[in-house]
Amino acid sequence: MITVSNLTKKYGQKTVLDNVSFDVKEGEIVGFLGPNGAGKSTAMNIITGYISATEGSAQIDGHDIAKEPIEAKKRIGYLPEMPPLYVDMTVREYLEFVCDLKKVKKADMKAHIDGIIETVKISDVENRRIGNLSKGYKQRVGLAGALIGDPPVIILDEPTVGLDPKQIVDVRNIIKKLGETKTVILSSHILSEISAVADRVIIINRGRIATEDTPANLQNRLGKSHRVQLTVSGDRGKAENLLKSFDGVSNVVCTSSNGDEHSFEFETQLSANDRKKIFFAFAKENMAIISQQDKRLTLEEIFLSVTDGGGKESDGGEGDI
Amino acid sequence: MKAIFKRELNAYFTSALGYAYLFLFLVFTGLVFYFTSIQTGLSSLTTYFTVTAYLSPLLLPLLTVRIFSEDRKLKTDQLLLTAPVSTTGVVLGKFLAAFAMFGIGLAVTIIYPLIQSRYGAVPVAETVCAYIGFILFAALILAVGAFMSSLTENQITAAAATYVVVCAVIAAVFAVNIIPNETIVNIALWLSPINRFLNLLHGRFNINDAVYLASVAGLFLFLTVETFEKRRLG
Repeated sequence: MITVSNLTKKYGQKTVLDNVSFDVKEGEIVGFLGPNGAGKSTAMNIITGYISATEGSAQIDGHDIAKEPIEAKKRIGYLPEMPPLYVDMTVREYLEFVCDLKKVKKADMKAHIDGIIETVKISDVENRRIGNLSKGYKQRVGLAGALIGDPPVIILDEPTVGLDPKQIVDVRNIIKKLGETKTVILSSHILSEISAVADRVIIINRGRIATEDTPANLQNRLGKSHRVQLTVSGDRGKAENLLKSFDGVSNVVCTSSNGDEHSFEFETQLSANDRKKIFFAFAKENMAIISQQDKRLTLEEIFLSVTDGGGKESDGGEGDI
Repeated sequence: MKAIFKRELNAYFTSALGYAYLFLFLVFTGLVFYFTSIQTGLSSLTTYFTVTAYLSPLLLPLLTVRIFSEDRKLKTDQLLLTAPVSTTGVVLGKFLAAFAMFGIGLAVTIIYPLIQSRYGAVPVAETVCAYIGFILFAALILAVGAFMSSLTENQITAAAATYVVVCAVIAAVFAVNIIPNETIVNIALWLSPINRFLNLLHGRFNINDAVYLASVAGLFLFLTVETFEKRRLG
């Protein structure tokens, strides 16, 4: 549905996007993840035709955004980082204007707008001036604008930024629902938001794709080395030495102590079976293991490990992790 | 284009700007008409047109200062430039809305020649010619204003830049008295739209003048479109 090939954007000497390529299949929800200034918005602005690329191309459903801008734009609903709202209009007037812009037939307009107002839950403010609305409502009106004309591709730049937790859940649910029928690209620097809705994550850092995969695969791929949290009752020094004596256990840290209960975190490449040995070793020393649990790398940790010193990596990024 | 035209025209009336413009334009032309025709008892509208011609360009930038600069400030340009509308469509839609506002004001002033015609013969051809001149000259000033508005997100800067151009255009007609070199004077007068405008205003219809004014307006609209295309390239 979306094919981005070798996209490069330079402002003078500064390269904001560097040879970025990816595909998005029909019906897929793809999340752009990256720190502020990584190039997420630039990529979206190029795909939607707001700015043009220095090199490379973006195709929407086979239509090149630079060569057939009108055809490509017909297929895209775009919510930029700051919703593009006319504050002097009421919500309904604004949506009617967007219908006119996107050439929605006059006869279908009312039903179409009613449906979208229902989807994004803004019926209680539809006759209020946009300038008087709260940030959360403005965001939703912007989202409504992106949905006008029923485009098959929806591109959302930081759709939940500045919203309260309840509004975030609302918007997330709307995006999930959209993903059932549409191709969606959304960006965020908030990781939980991406992992909650996206089928695939593209991590962008310093204008390059650092890595891409499904949220689950990313965790599997990057989380080969498990962190284990272990709480043990007994002498702290003895327990620490015992842990360190195992091959394949490293970075042992005591994270907290409460009486004779001590919690440790360490990294291990031992399989679950091998880790039974840890249990018996402690039992032999007459020290009780109170708990032992895997701490998988969260998307946040993956994100940090991929983006830290991101300038060094070429494309895979895995080598740095 | 139609959608943008409609929204922009409506926007003049949801803010004070449209009313302020119409109020000033009508009060101003009304006063000029009163002092040049009714009070003096002259049957000719020549003086009325001349005074209006020099002063009304000062009101026209009111209609254009915000048309593009505000979009950049509010980021609504992202809506317009990612919608399935050509850049030319966006520029023309906004320009035509400003032009329509001018047209609304101008349409009301038709009342003055009509009043005049009750007290004496108003030369119809000359008056129509004057109106054509007025319309073309306004198109030119509005196109310059639109271009200036596209260059900046600051409305004050856009207004100031437009006034500089408008004043330079008007000043060219007085250049004759200051510049000693005849060649420079002739070039300045040929380039300045004001003399061509005055020709039309005084009922001397010349197709060259009309084409010249329309072309300069077109040129500035073209430059406005190019400004957007260039910004897209970054």
